[in-house]
Amino acid sequence: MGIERIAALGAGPLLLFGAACSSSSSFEAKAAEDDLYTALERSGLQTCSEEDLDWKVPGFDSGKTFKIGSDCDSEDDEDNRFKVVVARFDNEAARDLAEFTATTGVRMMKHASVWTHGPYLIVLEGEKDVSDYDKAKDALEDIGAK
Amino acid sequence: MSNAAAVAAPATSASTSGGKSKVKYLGIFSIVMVNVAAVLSMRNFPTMAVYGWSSVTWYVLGTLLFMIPISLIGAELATGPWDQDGGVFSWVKAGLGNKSGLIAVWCEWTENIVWFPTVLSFLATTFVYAFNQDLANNKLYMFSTMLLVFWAVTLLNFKGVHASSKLNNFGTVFGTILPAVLLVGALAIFLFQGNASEISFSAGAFKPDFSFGNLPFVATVVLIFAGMEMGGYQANEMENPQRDFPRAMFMSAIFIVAATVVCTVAIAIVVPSKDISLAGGLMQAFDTFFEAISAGWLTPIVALLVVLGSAAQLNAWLLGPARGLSADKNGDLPPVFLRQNENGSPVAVLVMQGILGTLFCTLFLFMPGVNSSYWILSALTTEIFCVMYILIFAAAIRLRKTKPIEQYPRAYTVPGGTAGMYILGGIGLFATAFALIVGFAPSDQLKNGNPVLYVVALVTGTFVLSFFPLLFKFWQKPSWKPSPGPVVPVAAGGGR
Repeated sequence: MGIERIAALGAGPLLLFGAACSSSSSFEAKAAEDDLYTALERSGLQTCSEEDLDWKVPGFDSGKTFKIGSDCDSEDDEDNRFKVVVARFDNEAARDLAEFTATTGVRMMKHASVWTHGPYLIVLEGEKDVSDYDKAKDALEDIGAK
Repeated sequence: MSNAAAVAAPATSASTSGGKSKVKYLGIFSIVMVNVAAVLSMRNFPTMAVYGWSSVTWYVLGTLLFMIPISLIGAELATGPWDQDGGVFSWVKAGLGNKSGLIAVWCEWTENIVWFPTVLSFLATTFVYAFNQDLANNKLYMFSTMLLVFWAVTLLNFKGVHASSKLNNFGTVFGTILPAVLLVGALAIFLFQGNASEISFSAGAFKPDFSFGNLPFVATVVLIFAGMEMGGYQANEMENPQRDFPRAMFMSAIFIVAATVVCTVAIAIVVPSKDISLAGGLMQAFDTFFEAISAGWLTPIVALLVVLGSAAQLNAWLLGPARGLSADKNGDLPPVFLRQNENGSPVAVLVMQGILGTLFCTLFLFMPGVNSSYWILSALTTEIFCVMYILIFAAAIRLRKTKPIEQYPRAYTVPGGTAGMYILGGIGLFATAFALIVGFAPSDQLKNGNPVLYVVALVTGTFVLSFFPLLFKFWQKPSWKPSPGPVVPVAAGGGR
């Protein structure tokens, strides 16, 4: 049966392309939660609110969800705020599984991207295509999140 | 069994009782359950609930642009006086020719194979929610559970459409409908207890954001009810498909839209949006939901029910496109695709998709980086899914010209005569073509990847995968064409 081999060959380059541009970060990487906040602050973003996460997801250790924006005091800026979920996992398999769950749901969100940084899974969930969202993406890239 | 016999034999099973042959048919309920199992996915509810009341407007949009056109047109296509052995394959073949029919069903089949690891990993992780969640971190557990379920459902389908239907009926009633009822019941208790809604009600709350940047999301909404054609693969198993299939389509459509809207709004009312996340998933949302009425003990029970519903969903998608792919009588595919067993089950295609599904599950679990890039394959298969729907709508429109209803009466025709077909078919065609084009836009998930390379890869991949079955033309042999055997009438009243 040659067909599955051909199909697998067709899928291979796509997966490699995908792996090249979106592979997970190493779990052992020395990643600190503070790196993330510092990077966001450096890019001119503020944390407008934060709450603890209480997930019952395999391997979930702790986490927070933030509302991020350029100007927390401005009412006009409320629409431009977006959500950042930072979840720490106690093992790589759990982090990767959560990442997969999130990436398969990305198309259901208007703007969303899923990142990994050491033991952390980071999800940016935005409502609008705003510059703040791009700033956050740049900040994550700067700290080596993938 | 020879190819000819396999193609001509009715899949409808017959049993002998007291010397009398008794033919088993699928009822309206079974077809409704196939469609509900295929389309109604609870996994999407929490993500859509984030949009609050405006999710209702998005669903209405999906209903107008896709659900109504595909349901009405599917009902007409399934009741026309042309071969009805292969669902989507037969519909597109009747309107646009054999090769287009093959492309259409191939697109659906391929989309399916890439989707298997998604539903199987969801099923495996949800199953342990009730016992020991840490098991989900064990790749051996994940791999063995995913493959065990996958091959068990595949082998069940070797027994034919009626055995498959039993799992669909049971799994959908207890795994999809019952959890939906529990959600609604829990919402009633939540409101009765005097709790405040997490979303405020106002006319403005229904207004969706139609800004240019949200166009890709509109394309997603269009396909939210994809899968309504699944019942068509089993239409010829009904005693009177001309009368009953349209009824089954309408019942499925109404139930699916109603359940989707009610369950999404229920989650939006009870679960704060901060507790809904892409990574948290369905069970996290359910947990918060039931905790809100102090019924957290319900979550593990609902988890097991959802597993059952997912198995039914897997089952619905596993058999339909495989049946369609094995319905080619023109010799455009190698004979192995047509091979059926004595139960009328397309065993060769089922084994092929089993092997491919196993391969993708293995890559997903054990190849570093694959699970984080799997979304690219999903994006690709969403594109080829759109190709299939474009072909269905185009075929329906063209059939009104090439096979006018005066000479080729259909038991059901879409309202409004030929103009009605042009409008409905045009809406469906436009919506799915729009989804196809917008789907090529680089996703946010691409991050620092090269967007040009991404678009080129996606366009090329869509083209190559969609037209892949035509490659068999290069190796085609005259012996591939099934020899005309004794044609046995397919079921009853089929107009065939």
